[in-house]
Amino acid sequence: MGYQISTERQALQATFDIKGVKAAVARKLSPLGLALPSDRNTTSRSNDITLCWIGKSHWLLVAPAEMETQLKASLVPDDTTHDCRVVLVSDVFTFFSITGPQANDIMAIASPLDTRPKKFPENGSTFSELFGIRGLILRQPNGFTIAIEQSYADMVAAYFRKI
Amino acid sequence: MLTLPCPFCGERDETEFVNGGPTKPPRPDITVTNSEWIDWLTVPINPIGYVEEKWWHAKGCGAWFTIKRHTVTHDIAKLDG
Ligand SMILES: [Zn+2]
Repeated sequence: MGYQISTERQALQATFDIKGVKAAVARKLSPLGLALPSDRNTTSRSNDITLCWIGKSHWLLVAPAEMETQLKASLVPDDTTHDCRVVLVSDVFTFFSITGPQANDIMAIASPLDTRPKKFPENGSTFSELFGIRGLILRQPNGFTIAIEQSYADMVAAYFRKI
Repeated sequence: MLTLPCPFCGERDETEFVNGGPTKPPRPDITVTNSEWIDWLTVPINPIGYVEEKWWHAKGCGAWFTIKRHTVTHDIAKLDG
């Protein structure tokens, strides 16, 4: 591997797809101590939970797998007002970490998104193109975490081996 | 390289988007002639100049939006959400 990076396929994460009216979503998440991110395409965090604002009325909540049962109990019961819908999607995504001094160089190969700190903030999180497919990009202290549909995971792992 | 102004994400590379075609005038009344109907149904709007068209931020936030794009220069004149 010519680049000074480390890539790692991560274990399953508890992932919830949340759509709805902003105020209703805020109410739903407040018991978790989680505030909505204030800026588009950024995250908010509470303990081990990360909430990504990924679309106008669309959020993605990511947490360690062992929290899935507890989070499902808290989030998934239907909101009778139909203002907020939460769907468990842990099986949809595979997460990879890309860390190291040249993590930005790898992102420049993988994605048209400008991930330099000036354009993509410390708490940045957005869907973009990754190796030609749709994927989530999150900034981490020493690089990035990406999430892609799990059926593409082996393909992306193979790309990383070739870099 | 064309970049497009997503109303949620801001300026993004064209490869993140899918073109939804030009916006059409309203569906004509049932009394139109056959040739007017065929024109509305099948003839693409393709001026040399600005065309109002829809784009889908398919690999990004999923938003649909409408812009006016110049078919020669790619200048984007208007974003109406
Ligand atoms: Zn967008």
